Amino acid sequence: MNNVSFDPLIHAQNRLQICAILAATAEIEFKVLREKLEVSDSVLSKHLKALEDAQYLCAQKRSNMGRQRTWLSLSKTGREAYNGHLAALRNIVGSV
Amino acid sequence: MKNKEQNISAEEAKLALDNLANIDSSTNKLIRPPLWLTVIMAFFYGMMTFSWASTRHENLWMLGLIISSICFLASVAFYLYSSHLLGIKPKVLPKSRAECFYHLLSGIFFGAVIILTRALSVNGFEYSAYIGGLLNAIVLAYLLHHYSTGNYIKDNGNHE
Repeated sequence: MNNVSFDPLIHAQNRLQICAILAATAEIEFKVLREKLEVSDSVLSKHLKALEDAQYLCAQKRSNMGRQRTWLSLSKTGREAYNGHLAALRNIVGSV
Repeated sequence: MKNKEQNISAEEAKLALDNLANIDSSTNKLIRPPLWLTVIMAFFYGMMTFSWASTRHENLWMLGLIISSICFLASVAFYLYSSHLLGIKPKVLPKSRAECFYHLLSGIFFGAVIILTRALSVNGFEYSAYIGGLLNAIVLAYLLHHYSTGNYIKDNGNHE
């Protein structure tokens, strides 16, 4: 059973979308995530930093074919928080 | 950092859930293999089931089983590698309880079909190999298309 808790950090629109995308993948590259969300590098970096500070996100820089790529994934804590937040939203909708 | 207090209305929560459903749907469409690759993977998986059911001692279907297994694994490897090049790594192992349940159920289903098909074929019901192979191919294609990440994709067409 997921820990049901509303998390304002995740609930911000862009961060909720980031978490939803990361939850569906094992890892995603920064550039792909930016294109998917249609935001600028700086806006995405700001949201990622907030999630990283809360230890919800793991960012790893890896070099591939001479090009450095930043791979992003949800941490175990982040995945639990996201699932808990989803459960909380469903509870709010269900309790009406 | 976490504030556990909720201060949003049911309408806002519903809107957020609707947005999430759209994001989930478009993300899953991004992750799932292209249709041609899904068909190839399903074909070779069906061939594996058929070949295994048709194998008797060392007849030619053993070769069919080996070739179809290699081709199936190669198509899966191609899917994972091409996704990696595109900047997305699909989940291979389940990350949540719901995904564990989904993987377990699909594993039991495919295992049961393979074992039953083989048992019926060996006992003289030759058509079971065709039925089992077709069934496994169709179910695999369906799961790859709709449940590529363990979440059902709502094909509402309102996004992308």
